[in-house]
Amino acid sequence: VVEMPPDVERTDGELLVAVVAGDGAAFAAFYRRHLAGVVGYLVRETGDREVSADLAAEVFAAVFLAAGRFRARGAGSAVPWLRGIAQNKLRESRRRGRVEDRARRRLAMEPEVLDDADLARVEELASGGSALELVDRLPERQRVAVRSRVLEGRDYGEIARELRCSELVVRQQVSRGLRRLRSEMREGER
Amino acid sequence: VSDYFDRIEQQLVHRVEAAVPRSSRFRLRLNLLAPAVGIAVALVVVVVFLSVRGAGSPGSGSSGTVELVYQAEPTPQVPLVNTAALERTAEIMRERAAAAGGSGISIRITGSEITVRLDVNKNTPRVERQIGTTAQLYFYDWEANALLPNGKRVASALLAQDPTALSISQGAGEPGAGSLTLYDAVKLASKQPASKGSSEIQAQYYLFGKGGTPACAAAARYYGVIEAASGQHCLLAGPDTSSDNLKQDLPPGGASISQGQVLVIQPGTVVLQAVPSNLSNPPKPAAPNTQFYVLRDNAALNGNDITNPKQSTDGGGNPDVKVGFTGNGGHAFTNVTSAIAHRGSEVSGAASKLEQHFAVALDGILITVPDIDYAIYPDGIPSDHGAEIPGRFTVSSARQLATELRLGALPVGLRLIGEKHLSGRG
Repeated sequence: VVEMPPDVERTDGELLVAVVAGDGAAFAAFYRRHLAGVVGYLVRETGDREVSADLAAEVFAAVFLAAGRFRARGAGSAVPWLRGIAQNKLRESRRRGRVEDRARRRLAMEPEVLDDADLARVEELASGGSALELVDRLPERQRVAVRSRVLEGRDYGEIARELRCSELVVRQQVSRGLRRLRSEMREGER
Repeated sequence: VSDYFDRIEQQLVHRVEAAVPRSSRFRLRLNLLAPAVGIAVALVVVVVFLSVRGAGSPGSGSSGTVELVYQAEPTPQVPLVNTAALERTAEIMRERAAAAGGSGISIRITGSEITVRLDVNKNTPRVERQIGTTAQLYFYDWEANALLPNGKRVASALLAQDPTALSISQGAGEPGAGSLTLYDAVKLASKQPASKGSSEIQAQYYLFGKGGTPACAAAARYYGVIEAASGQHCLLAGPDTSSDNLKQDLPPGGASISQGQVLVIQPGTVVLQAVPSNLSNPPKPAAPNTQFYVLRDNAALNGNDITNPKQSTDGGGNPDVKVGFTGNGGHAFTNVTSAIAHRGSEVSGAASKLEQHFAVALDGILITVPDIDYAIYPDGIPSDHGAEIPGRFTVSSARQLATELRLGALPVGLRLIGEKHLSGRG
């Protein structure tokens, strides 16, 4: 038996409950789990690396402020909730013509300067985020199966119990999900 | 060495751990605690003062301090104002202030506002004029973009010898050659459909009043211009990026938004002030007789396309500004001057030469509209050796423009939202 790192063991919902209780490590785990997805989404929407980095910081500041309002559904993924925050911040930024900073101001966060290496990191995160975004676009059962098996390394039996189906069905869902991902990634490269 | 995202993570983790007591019974206090912590820490941390290199020592020889507060606005180059753009803007403002002889200057970024403080001395008025100037430079094919009162482009009516088109074309941006008052120009511009603009990405809001009313009298006092007569219109507020901003910019003493007419120019159309007789002291836009032209905002080049601007003199010894071009800028310059030359050749008759023009606009004012001689440059002007921007410059105003262009345009637009004089160093 291999002990899983704590952030892999805990669902998004569990991490956010811990954040509300002041658990900095839980916030760090949540942040690292979702940073690439958020940055990838923002880069695709804005096409601007500086703006995306600036907005990503704002999104995660808002995550901290709103953590107490998160209500887990299904497998407890916070991706739709997080996507909602990012969309709101983006919409509000476009409406006002400047990157939203309300959450960061509320938290009195110090502005951070970006250099060329940081911008390269944005690109790196965005390309990683794209793959995660594709996972999130899979049909729900395939998404849960792929995330649980491939990204979180859980065994088929455990996933089958959670999804209330046989191991064979989970294997099929993972297989179909991965086939679909491969096909969409090939499509994206054209 | 931690990267940007690590530093953001560290800040947030620190706040998660610091702002919320571990005991769950205090959890409900989070919303009350966060703003209080925010305000206290903001006073110490968020406010970033940038000292000016080489500026005089604070307070030396000063009789007080002036504080200018600017609101950053998006531009086509920076459609979303962000931290990096604000810091670049503050840096350019700092260099301009130093170049203009300012002393005791500090620049502070708070949210999307930039606050500048400077000692009052003999250079203060010049620093104030230059520091917030966006220095946005645009080059237009004049006849292809200038609009007739019916909304058609001047170039489209030249072959038909339309008198207004001929006047606007050959008047080359001078006041009185088919130009309009600000109200008429904005009204014409407000009827044009939205499209992608070179200089503005947001709608521009204006508020006009009727001449002879108390609102116009208050506006005339506020802007320091003569009062609009009955039958004329006066500018009450604008241009702004929203009607809320219009309300904030109303002149004090009697004007309200309901007393005026709001006109909105969508992106894709621009109103430019006619070439002033004195570039150092152009007429105020709010003055009732100041003249304007309406153009499609389809610039061929902008300030980012030029390099190495210098004050120079033309063949006649008149001051001008010499510029070079970037690779793309050079191509664009040759292409647009070629299009202008070809059109000149097409619309000119055997007996009459109808030169076509190239317009240069700086921060909403036409500074020069030179013609392109199609007989000398039938395929446009080569960009290899740069170009000279002629104009009604003095040596000083040409040098000032060259300095502004060399330091670069401000990445964001700036709207002055507050100005106050402090008796001591604040």
